[in-house]
Amino acid sequence: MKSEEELVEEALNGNHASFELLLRPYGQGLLNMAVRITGNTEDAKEICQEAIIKVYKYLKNFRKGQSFRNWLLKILVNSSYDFLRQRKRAIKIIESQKNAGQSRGSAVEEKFLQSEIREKIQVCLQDLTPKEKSAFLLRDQEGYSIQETSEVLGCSPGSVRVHLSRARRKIRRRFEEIYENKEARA
Amino acid sequence: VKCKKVCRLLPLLAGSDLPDRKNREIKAHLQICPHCQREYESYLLSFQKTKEWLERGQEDWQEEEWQGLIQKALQGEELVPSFRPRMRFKRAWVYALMASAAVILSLFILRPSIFRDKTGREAKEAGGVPQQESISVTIVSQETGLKIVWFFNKNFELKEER
Repeated sequence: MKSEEELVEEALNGNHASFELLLRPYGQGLLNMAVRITGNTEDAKEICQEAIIKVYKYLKNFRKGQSFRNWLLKILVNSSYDFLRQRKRAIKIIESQKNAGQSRGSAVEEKFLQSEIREKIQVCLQDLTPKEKSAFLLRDQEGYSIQETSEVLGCSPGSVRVHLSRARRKIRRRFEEIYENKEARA
Repeated sequence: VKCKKVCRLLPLLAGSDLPDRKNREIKAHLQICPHCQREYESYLLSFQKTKEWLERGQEDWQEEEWQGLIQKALQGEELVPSFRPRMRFKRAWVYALMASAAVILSLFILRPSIFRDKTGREAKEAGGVPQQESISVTIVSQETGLKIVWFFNKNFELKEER
């Protein structure tokens, strides 16, 4: 099996299959990260598209010895920020996602379960700022260390801890609301 | 350790994101403080549950979608030559530039004491003697009593004649 550096080299030499092989292991991670940040699958796919175009465009700038995964996620996170900033609809997205989650829940049982979980995640993430969201997702979803998270976000480990702490506090508040509602309904 | 400080660090403790020493300190406090212990358990529960939701609520690409994505990237853009800016933009530079602009402006606008004399008035010429702006020459005719006054500027150019 070829290493990432070899695949990068081949992709730079015009081998399209190598470029695809290079990105494939991270495809799902990219999509999920973008979905959590935007709260919307369609927008997430658009962001992934943009991020992958940038990856291909600037592949020459990728330095050997650097983590390709970190570089990729950095591009994705920055593309997501740009997207949210440009369209100025972070709040709208979350609300529409909430509604979409509610309407989607009436299909098959598995789909219902999926959409219920998706809805819960979105409710939990709705108060978070983009930085808090990214720090939380990188650490708790992707399993990055504080140091790695700080490299991707371009800030100090101390700042990452602050963002993470705030994010978990807000999530806990939302989480309690979900459970209180559940108990009240029961 | 005080409860307030412990409560601030509980979100990080729930995800094992504290350095060892702090970890031990907080855990020792939790042994003796039931209120903080309850808070910690609540953080732990929300942390575990959201992590579980994040794992279960994963989405993935459909094969055609993924291939289309890669194709678009490959078709859309040609590989560009390596471009790495020599100097990266730093916010600190902007602050430094703004601070120096403010200092220069304050020198001109506020005119600190270096531009003023002891009484607070602006210093004129070296030696304190104000430069004369205009010179007048008066010629009086003894026979007719006619008086002509010439006014010259400091370059000795005629300004006015009366």
